[in-house]
Amino acid sequence: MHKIMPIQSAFSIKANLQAISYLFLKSLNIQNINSQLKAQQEQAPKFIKNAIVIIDFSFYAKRFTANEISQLIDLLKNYQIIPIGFANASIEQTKTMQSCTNLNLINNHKSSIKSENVTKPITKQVNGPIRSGQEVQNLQGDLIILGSVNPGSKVMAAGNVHIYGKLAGKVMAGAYGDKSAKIFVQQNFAELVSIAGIYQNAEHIKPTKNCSIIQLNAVNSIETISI
Amino acid sequence: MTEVIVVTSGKGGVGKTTSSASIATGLALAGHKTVVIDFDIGLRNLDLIFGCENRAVYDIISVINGDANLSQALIKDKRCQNLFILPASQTSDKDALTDDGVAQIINDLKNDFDYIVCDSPAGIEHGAISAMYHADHAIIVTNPEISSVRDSDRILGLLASKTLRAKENSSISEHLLVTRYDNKRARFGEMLSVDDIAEILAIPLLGVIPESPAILKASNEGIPVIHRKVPAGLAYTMAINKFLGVDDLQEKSSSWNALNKLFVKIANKVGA
Repeated sequence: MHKIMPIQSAFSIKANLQAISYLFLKSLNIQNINSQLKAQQEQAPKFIKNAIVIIDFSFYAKRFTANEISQLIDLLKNYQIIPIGFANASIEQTKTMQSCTNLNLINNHKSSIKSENVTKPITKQVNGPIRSGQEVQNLQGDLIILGSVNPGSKVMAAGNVHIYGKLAGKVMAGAYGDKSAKIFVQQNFAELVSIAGIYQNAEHIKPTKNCSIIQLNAVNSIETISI
Repeated sequence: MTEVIVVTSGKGGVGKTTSSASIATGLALAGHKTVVIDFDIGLRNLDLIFGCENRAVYDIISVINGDANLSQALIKDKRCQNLFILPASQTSDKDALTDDGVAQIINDLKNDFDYIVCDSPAGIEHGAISAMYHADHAIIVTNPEISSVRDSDRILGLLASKTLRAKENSSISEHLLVTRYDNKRARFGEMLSVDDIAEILAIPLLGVIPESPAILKASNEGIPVIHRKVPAGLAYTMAINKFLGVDDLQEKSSSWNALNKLFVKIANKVGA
């Protein structure tokens, strides 16, 4: 018997590249997770919003209750993070996940990633000058600006910031909390400098025409060293 | 190939309309068929500077709305046969300026003119963005004063992102025109020097127009200052020559000190 294909199909499929991130869980302390998410949201709101994640248990081998997981998922949803599945879970963890969530297990071979850095840092280089009102950021590594950063502009990086020119705007290094991040400038007339959230504004910045390194000292406050 | 020049600044009152009038006149006097468009809808004054307000029947909004065609709206300058003016509407509001309407007008004008000069309104809103959208060149008019420099920097940022050329990944040719410059005050440190401004804005210098009582006179008379033999008028001529790449005095006096000495000489000669 011949099967006749209907003229109008019931659906069509189009391949699309969508970024999916792994959320490597390291603790189920809801308060801690909330604080960390809040901090990340303040520093880089676009990164968090509508992020699609797979919850990965590679770094969290403990058992958990259905209640704990429900709390986690509700928290994620508050930040508009969309969990679509889970990975690298033990048999017990998988059972719990399947009983209280409708998330599926995705890809159960152990990931070879053992280190903290999930992605390799990428350096971004931008030709300046960065004009008033412009914002440049690199949340995946260092940022190099060839030119000045003019008053009224903002540059931000997860790593170090190197400015081959006069800094007269706002700069944020170590945006994800890297306290070892540094800011290198040819002249410092900054409106605001911040390293891992610790900041100093123009009132307390001594303007200088010397090449300087701005970094955190032993007691976690901003210091500027002329070179 | 027609070239579109936007005269913009961000800050208001720095000399955009004054400069647009003299620049358009200068280009026309150099033999190029030029049209200058007033993009300041509701606050038009390009027609006043040219002294042609009595002949402004139709304007850019009439053309966009289809109430008149371009040739009816364009006003021929009395003093310069290559020069035409397209006035703004005084009664409409800024929203009447549609993107498609402007694009159509610019494309139609490209058929007949060598240069289209767009006199931008102040600010960074729709009017200013419309004026700069189709530009190949931008003349950034800046006073030697910190808020003017800050606003010019902002406008440069917008030129690099909100224009047709920016969207096509090419770039607009940017030129700095310093206006209302007072050499004495700059030397005493009261006023930013041309070097300071050029360093902050990091764009090539087109010209320096000195502060001059002749400019107020020119507006009142309705004759662009470039027609007058005063330092400001001469400065506009030199700026045009530099823009067109014409060799002149500019080449011989390579430093601005020499140029300022020239201003003083001319000022003494004509008593302006």
